[in-house]
Amino acid sequence: MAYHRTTNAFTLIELMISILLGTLILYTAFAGFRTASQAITIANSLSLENSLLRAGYFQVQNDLDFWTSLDDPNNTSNQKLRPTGGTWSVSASNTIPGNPFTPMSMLNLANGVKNITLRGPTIQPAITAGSPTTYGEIKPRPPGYLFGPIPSYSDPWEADTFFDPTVSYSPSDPRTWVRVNMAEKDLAYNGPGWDTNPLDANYGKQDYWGTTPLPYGSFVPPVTFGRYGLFSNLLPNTSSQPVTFGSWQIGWNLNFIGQAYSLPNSGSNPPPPSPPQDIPYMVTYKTPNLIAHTWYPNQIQLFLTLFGFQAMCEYLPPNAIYNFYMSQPSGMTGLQYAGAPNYNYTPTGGHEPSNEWDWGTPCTAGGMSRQCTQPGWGPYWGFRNWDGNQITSIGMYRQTYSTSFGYFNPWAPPDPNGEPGIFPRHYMHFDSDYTAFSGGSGPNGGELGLQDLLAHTAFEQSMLPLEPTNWPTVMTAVGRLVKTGHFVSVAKIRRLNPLTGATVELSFLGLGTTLRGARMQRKDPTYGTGWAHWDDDPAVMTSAPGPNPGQGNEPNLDSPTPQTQP
Amino acid sequence: MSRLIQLHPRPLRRGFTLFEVAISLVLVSFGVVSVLMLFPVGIKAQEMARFRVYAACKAEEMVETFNATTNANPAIDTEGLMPWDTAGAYRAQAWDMEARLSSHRYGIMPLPVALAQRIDSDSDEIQQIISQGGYIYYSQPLATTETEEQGNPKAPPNDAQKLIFTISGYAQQNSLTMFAMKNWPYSTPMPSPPMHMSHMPDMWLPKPGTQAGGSYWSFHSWPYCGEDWDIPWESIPFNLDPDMGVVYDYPYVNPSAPPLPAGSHYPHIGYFPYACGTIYWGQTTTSIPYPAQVSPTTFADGTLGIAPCLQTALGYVQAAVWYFEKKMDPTGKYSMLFSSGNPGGSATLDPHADFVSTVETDRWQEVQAFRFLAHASTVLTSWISYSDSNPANMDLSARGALIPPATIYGFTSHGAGGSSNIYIYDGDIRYFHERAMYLLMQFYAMYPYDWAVPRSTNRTIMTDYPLLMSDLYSPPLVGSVFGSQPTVPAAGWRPISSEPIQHIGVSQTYPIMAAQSNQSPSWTIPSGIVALDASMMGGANTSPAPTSIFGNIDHYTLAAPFQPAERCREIVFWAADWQSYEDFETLPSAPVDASKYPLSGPRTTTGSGNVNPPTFSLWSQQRTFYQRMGDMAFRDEQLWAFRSPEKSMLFLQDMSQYPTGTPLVGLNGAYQWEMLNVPNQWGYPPPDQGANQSWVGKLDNTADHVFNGLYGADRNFNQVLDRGPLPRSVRIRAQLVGRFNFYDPRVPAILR
Repeated sequence: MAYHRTTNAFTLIELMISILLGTLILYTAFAGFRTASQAITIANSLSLENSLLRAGYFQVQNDLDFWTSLDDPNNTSNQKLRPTGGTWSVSASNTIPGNPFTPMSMLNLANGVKNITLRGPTIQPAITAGSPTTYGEIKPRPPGYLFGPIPSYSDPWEADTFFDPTVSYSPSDPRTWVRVNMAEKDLAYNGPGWDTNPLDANYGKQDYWGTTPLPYGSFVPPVTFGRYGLFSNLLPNTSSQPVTFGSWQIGWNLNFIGQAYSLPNSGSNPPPPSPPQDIPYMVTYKTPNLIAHTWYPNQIQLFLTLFGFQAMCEYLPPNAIYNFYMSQPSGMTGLQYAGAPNYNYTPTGGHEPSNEWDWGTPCTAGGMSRQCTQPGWGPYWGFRNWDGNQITSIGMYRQTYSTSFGYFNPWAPPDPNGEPGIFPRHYMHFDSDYTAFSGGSGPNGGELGLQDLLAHTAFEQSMLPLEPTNWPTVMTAVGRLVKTGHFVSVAKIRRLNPLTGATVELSFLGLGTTLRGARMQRKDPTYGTGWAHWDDDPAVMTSAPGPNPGQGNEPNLDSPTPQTQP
Repeated sequence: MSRLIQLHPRPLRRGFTLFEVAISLVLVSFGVVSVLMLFPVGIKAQEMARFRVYAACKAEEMVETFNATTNANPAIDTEGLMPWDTAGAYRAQAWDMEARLSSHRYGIMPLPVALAQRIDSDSDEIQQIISQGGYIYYSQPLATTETEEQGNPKAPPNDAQKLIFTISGYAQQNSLTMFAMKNWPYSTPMPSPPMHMSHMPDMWLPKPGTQAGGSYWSFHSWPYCGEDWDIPWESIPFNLDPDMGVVYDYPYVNPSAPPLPAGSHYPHIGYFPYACGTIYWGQTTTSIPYPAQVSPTTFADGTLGIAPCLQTALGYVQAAVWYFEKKMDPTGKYSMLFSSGNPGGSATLDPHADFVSTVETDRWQEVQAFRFLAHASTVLTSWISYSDSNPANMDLSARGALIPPATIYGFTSHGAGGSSNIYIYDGDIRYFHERAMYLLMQFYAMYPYDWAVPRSTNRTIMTDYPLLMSDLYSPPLVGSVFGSQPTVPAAGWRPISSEPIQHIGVSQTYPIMAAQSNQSPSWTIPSGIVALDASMMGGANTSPAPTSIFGNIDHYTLAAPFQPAERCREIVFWAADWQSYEDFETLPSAPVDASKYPLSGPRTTTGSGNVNPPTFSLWSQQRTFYQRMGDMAFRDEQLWAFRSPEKSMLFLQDMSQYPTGTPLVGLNGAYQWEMLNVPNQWGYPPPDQGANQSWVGKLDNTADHVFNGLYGADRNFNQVLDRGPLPRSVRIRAQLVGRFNFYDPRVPAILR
């Protein structure tokens, strides 16, 4: 009999429990793996996004410091803001308008009439090999102003009219003091309801008695408070070539309103009223005396065409007043020079045209620059905004609290409707505050103008154009504009998830280099491409090229024409 | 069978018991779960890493915006009778980061307090800050470009909104951003005539003197300017220098000549008769022939003005020369000027020579003398040719401009060597200008606390702005809120300066401090009045005890040495999903500081301002406090520190009845739910302006509700009404992201 050994199988309950436990283990394992997989995926995704975010952050920080989105010194194909503007001109200046990264030497070469020296007229101290004073240093003018008695005095520093990167705007330097008459304005027209101004040289065509038209001209000078162009002017004037400052016809004794008047003196009280006299005569001003101050007017005129309007705000000190006087150009009448518009003599006292602004002359109100003072004068609304609707002198606050200038990314596509390209935009102002509330017309007006400004300054570019398709796309931008005197650098890092399509943006204001700093980082193209080396790299400096090999700093975009130093 | 079994016992092979297996599974599961729990920690670490980038960006923006944006709020009133009359001493103007940036253009908004109170944090830091009156902030969706919000393109969601943050640490006591009783510096283009300004006719102006001679002083109303009057602030009576009134407007009475017949008027000399002797009415029609549109200015003594002409130009110079010699003649230092028939009398003088006045506190007279002379004499170049072939005419090269002497206040101006007539030439005019500019610039740089000379608009410098601060250790000034009904008591700290202020003069807005004379409607100086000038002249505030309105100079600390740690504050960032609350948009705003409301300075009801000569009884009625709340214009571009920080996104009415997802744009006809999208801001008063006024035609809200944000705000700025999934009863925990130290300055300073 065979031995039969019994074998107990799992009972059904045991089997079920085993299956349950096994299932539980499998589920736990599966869930664990699944969770782990998801977590790893999310973590990897987050890590990747964070890495790209950090890369974007460093990208914009780098751009804030080095402006490489606008100009890459190591890549000549990304130096679109270096050429000059060609023949496009915004003023009667003989300079050629530049772009924000146009080398100073290029402007200098194109503008050979300017007197360009370093450290003023005598180069003090000289920039020589081994000298501690080099291109990068900015110092105030040495003390001791070379003035003499009025009116024969002269100061050679006043003739150093081109941009001098080695001298600062010292507030103690008399040549930096603004001498325009800020209270003077063009009286011709100041908006509806104001063009009956009897002080307007062109208004009165009859005298008080109603029948006798004045022979020509008017009864008060169009420049009420005198000729400030005598004190500060583009041209220094010389005894051999005296220039004129406008002429106008006025009444000698203007008793047209009722009461006779004579100047009181110690001898008598004024005589009794006498019949009115209108004795017209010409007032002319043509003097051989030197004009003391020419540096500031030339700085303003220069920067109006140098790098664009925002650059002008950056390079000039914040208390600058953007205006200057010029002497009477040939071809302009004395009345035009004074700000009086052309008019037709109307013996019956006819009314003048509704818009008396003269758009064809370069100056007004005794020689004040129209480009600096007249709203909308020049291409694309010009430099001066419409704040106050006045033809008068202003500074940066009024010029930028309701409108803005900007630096425009050359890679931003042109607008489809034929609006101006990148270069003219640097010579335009854009509505950016209450006038940008809604609507808009043209490239720079209203809400559309503000959006145009933001879109073309903070133009977003792909950080990794060749990235894998399943990576989050990261776009970065650094936009620079000036608003209410604040030089805004807005940085943007935008991430587009290719799977979800979601877009998230991180935008903030950054601290960065000024344009002047960015230009001084870049090597003068006369000596090649790349970054300018500074004296913090002495090993390189000992072999640095330039007009003075071995000197401390390399020439940069702000250095003037290479020249032999004494 | 059982026996066999017994004979051959089977080896005992026992497996795990079910219990053991269960225990084992528990242990295994614990281990697995523990490992799995590490994965979310990794995710959380990644999220925190991201928030740290956000925090770094936001901190950079806050520091940049704090230090580089404008400090101007041109639309507000900056002067009052007492410190509490303007916002200068209030929180809205404090030079602290949260006060500066918690504004609709500068990017940080306080979380609703009710929401912030639901957020836990390490060491309960958030609740401690709230309990001390501080705020927890969130970020606006857009970067702080300061540009018009309405015109900005719609931006994608900004991750930085997931951060909340605060400013931790106590702020330093700041300098005064404006001195209410005289908001120095007063600026004017230089050289200039005595300053004059548009001013409402009110009870704080001295009464004009209409008698020709020594008591004459006047201001003028222009018929086309309504209630705005032309007030010669600088030459106002009982200001620093009564002689200055001659340069502005003076009816000249020759003491050595017989008086004019009764009813006659004396000719006026000075700036005003030259520049403003004629008024015009601004007619736009061509049917009114000239000169019917033109009228002469009527001076306070009844004299009729005439249009600008050579005679009045010479009269202006005559007044300026008289003033110059009155101030400088005793020194004799400029006796070579004004030569007789000698062109270029100034040719031997260096315009950049030092002051001739050896007494520093007197140098303002030299500056003023050249300032007025330079401005007046330059006028001559509009009327007189440089060279004129007609010997009957003056010219400025050979014959000169003849200025007769004048005898005023017992002093007679004269030419060189005591000659009676004075001649001015082209070279003199250039010298006057250069000399005036040089002296002005020297004076500004050397004497920031000598306020005798207004500062130059055409060359502003840092030291134009004095460093004033409040004296927290002297008894405050006390009084009442102007226009409050019933009277509300008020108190304000006394100001102190680093050194005694010289020649402070009177306030241009409130030249008579009527508040100190019980707001008397009288236009004569009440007896016992404490003029601003008298309270601070000559270093009166050097006394240990407060004198008049000033405090004790010994308490001045702005210029004291300090340790870096004393001026270090901290920005603390947390991450918290505060937008998941169901009421994150409908909760009322955090309380808006009262100083965020741009309140006008004390005013009187003007009645009819177009009166000449003025009828003084019209302006004795005070504007109430509530009327003052409607007197200021709410201009975004000129109000950077005012209004609710959430102003752009505020709801205009109770939104509780509307479902989640309701679009905030394009509903309700012409009006919108959100202030940003209110159309036509020019056609209506802003919906948050006024004490209790209903916005014209607008729903059922009132301005005060909107100003205070009682209806909530579109806080994620997506222009849709949102509600999150979390009920308000749930608390959430904020995770600390980072801390950033920054420098807390005491003095307003803009970096560029």
